[in-house]
Amino acid sequence: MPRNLPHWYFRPVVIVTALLLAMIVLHMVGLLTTVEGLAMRATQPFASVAVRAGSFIGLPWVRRGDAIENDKITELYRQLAVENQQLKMQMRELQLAQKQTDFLQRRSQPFITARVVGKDLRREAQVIIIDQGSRAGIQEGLPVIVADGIFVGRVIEVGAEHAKVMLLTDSRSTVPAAFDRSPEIGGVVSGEFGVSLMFDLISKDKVVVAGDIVVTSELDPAVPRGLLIGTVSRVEPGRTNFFQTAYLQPMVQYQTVTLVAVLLTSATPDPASIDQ
Amino acid sequence: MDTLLRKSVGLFFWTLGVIGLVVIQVGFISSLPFPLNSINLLVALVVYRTVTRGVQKTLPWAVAAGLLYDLYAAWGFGVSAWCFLLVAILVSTCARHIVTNRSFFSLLALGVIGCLMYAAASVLVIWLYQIFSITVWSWSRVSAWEWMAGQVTDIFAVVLLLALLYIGFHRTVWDATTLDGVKGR
Repeated sequence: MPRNLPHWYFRPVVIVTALLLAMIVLHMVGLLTTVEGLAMRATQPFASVAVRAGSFIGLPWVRRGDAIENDKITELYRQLAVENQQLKMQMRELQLAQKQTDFLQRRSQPFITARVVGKDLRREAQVIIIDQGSRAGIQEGLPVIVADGIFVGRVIEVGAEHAKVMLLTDSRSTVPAAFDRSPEIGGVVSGEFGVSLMFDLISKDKVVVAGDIVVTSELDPAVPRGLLIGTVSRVEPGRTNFFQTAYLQPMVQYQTVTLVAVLLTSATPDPASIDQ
Repeated sequence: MDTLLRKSVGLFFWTLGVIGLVVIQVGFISSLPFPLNSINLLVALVVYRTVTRGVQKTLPWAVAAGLLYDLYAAWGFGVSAWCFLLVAILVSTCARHIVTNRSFFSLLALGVIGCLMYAAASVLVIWLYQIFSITVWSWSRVSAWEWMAGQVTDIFAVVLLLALLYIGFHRTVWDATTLDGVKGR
């Protein structure tokens, strides 16, 4: 043992390391579930207040200077895009009776409103924590939207009273998508290190222009089609000769989200059947 | 009896402090816009406590804060706790043998060392977690350049926080005679 590092230096290190190992083992075998649930339940109200405070204080940075006017226009455009999307959908539903039935069935699927109580929004991780969990009927893989139909991510981990949602801006997130004006042009939207969204695998022979609206496609059964994702900000040639890539401006600023809705899609069991 | 009561009250406020700081980190700071959401308050406090209070008193605090933080964090349970533990040990060792001058700038230097250790530890621990299949987290889609840029922001934020803590608590003792936690008990 080095002269300057007496035994009282090592003892706490050994004790704390052993305790930490024990905690991880207990967590892995599930014996800490109750304690973790209690800890989450105890901290969630304060975390929720902190999230709202942080979002409120952060807003001036987001909307500073000339960006204020731009934000107003963006907000108006977003609202119009949502309205336009809904109108277009209604029109399509009238024309296509079968699709109308499908659409209404999807829209009549239940959802759960949840408050954001924590965030982990680093470049390498884009995760939010919501205050509803398996007791409310939430399961892994369910899509999460903000109130007016904008897709923000999926549930990746569920506790009894909380769930973690991986945002679409996370590098590991992907969702099948299509253009609102041409649903036959499909591809995959994935996150770009918490900064933007990338719409990849778009066939090179299709015309894509800045401003095109991108929505979820029907290819993922857990995600209803027609949920807004973002608008095209620029288009680049893809990595191969067959595809091109569009970079999207998200429809929502993720750091200011405080309230979301989890869609209980058809793949999900009826919440009433879940053991309370 | 009086001692027991005092210890209980102390433990209560200690727990409250840990919860409060983690809530501030996961709720308040994470909701701020970039680059403010890069501030890692917990790493800064682990470094500060290690330098001012000693590694003995910091380790339980660091691990408790790390475990609570991991309930909210994206990577696996225990990753942050391991990282904070390693940061406290390395900062303490450096303060004993390398950055032995108890000055304002030595505190900042230890902050930089702590941040680098935290970054290295997070890579190492997640790699070990992956080997033992404890986490589904993967660095595979994280750009190395973006990650390194993020570390620079983190270091800057932690150093700024440490400077503020120093000015807040030790401004009258510029030679930092109170920063003696690492000298002994």
